[in-house]
Amino acid sequence: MPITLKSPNVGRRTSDVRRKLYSHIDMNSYFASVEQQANPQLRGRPLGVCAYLHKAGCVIAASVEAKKCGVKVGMSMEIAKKVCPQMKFIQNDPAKYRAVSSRVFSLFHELTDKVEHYSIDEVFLDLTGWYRDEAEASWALCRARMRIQSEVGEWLTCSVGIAPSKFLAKLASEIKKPNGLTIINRENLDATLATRDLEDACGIGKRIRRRLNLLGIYNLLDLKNYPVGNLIRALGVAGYYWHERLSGQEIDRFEQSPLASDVGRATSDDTQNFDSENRSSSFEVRSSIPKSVGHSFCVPKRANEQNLILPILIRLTERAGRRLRSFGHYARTMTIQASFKPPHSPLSGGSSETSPSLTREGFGVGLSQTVKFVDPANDPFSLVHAATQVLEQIWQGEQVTFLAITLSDLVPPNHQLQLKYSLKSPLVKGGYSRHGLELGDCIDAIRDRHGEESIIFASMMGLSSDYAPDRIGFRKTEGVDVQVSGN
Amino acid sequence: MYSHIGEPVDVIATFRQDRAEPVIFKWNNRYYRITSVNLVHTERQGRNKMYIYSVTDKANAFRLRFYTETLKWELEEMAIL
Repeated sequence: MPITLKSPNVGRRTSDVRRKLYSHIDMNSYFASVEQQANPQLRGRPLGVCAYLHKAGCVIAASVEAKKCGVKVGMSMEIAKKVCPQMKFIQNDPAKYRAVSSRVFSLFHELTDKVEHYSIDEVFLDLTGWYRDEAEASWALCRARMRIQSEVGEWLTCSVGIAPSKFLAKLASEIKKPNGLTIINRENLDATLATRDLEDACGIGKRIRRRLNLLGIYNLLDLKNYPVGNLIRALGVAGYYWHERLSGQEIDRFEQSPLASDVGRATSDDTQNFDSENRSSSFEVRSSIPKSVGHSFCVPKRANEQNLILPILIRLTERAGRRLRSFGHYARTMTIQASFKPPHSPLSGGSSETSPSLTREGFGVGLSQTVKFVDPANDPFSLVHAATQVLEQIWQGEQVTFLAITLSDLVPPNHQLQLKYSLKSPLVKGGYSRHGLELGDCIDAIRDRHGEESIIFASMMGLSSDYAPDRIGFRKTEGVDVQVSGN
Repeated sequence: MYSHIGEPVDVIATFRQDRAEPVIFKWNNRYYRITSVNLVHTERQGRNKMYIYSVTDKANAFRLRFYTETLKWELEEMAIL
């Protein structure tokens, strides 16, 4: 039975301080559109942008034409080719996407002082106080959209949603694609929600949908009108949040992004892929500090033949460590994951004998091993030393197909210098050794000036840039620096 | 798709308002007149900033790279339309 709710956060008068106005802009088929913009030959054709040009490599972005053929993001190249035989594939170019995002986001920074770079191709604007109503905001956003096409590229389109909360703005932007503009306000809120499936809401997946279906909830309007007490009993506090979001209340924190990124070094172009969240994660409050920093690479057969496993792991560790240092944080935990070509002998579970702090678990044809530092570490030598030691333990010379490193349990520095003492196991050594910190700073300064590979570990000599290259992450906006004219 | 070239080229460029764009470039003793600059983006290698121009003439698509530190142009890639 529907209950009476307080009115959504939409007013009719500009003096209404409760009135909020948010917008969400989603670039359509972003990576593919940028590639089509760069090369007119690709326009109007089904195109897939892949992380690797290999039959097992997955499509990370499909063009509008490819989506019409039935290709979905996440499909392997092999399957996508079967679904759409005329499809072309191209390898991703992270620097290009970040540069285009910088230019596009810069235009949005001219509309309001509060801009949240939600992902590499999505942005939230808090338009409260800048525009009188949705119509005026629509006019400004349409002009911004035209400027994108005239100043950045005519093939770049975006979908715009305007609503009294971030959640509803995101929901609105997904209603009309590509190049749509949708407004959700008090008048059309119920009508809009009635047409939307539960899974259209960011944060509701198959499992939650099944639970809601058992309660007799089949669309978002049903969810909004469901008694909040019952919803809390069924879903816990998340039920209350869903109720508030669908009622137009703004409960999600707005993470304002800086004009020029101070997250990561300004000269670094390879900052990406923080694993704190993935793209399908729920619509939750984000923290500016990532939960973890990681890098991974699907290792080709030829790298095994050339005995390049260790250099590749060092490069992955160096990339992850560099980004960790750019945040000024330290890692307490390092996890190394490796997959091997079957058949192989799965290692037994349980703790490693070398250190009680080590845990080991097998998954599929791969292994994952976690090491905890006694003192948090971020200098290149501690990280590389620990990573290579872990690899030695889990790798018995099989053909490696996948390598990943994750630095987690991140903590800020406490500036406590360590007394000199020795540990039995160098594996867990880390911490704020003055020598290591100063050397790490010097190495970073050299890389800032001359490039990432200007100073490397000796074992990385001659390692091709094809191995463990720069990667792009959808939800990661590090490296996207915006500038507004006049500032 | 694209084939890597990586050779230095001679370029005639224009400076209009707030942008600089290549107009003609010479590669292998042949002149290519650029009909469209489709996308311009930047990359960094340390402090060295590079501008990458994705351009087309009547028949081909090219990627031209301009090194701001050395003021040199390079034909990076080429694709036949």
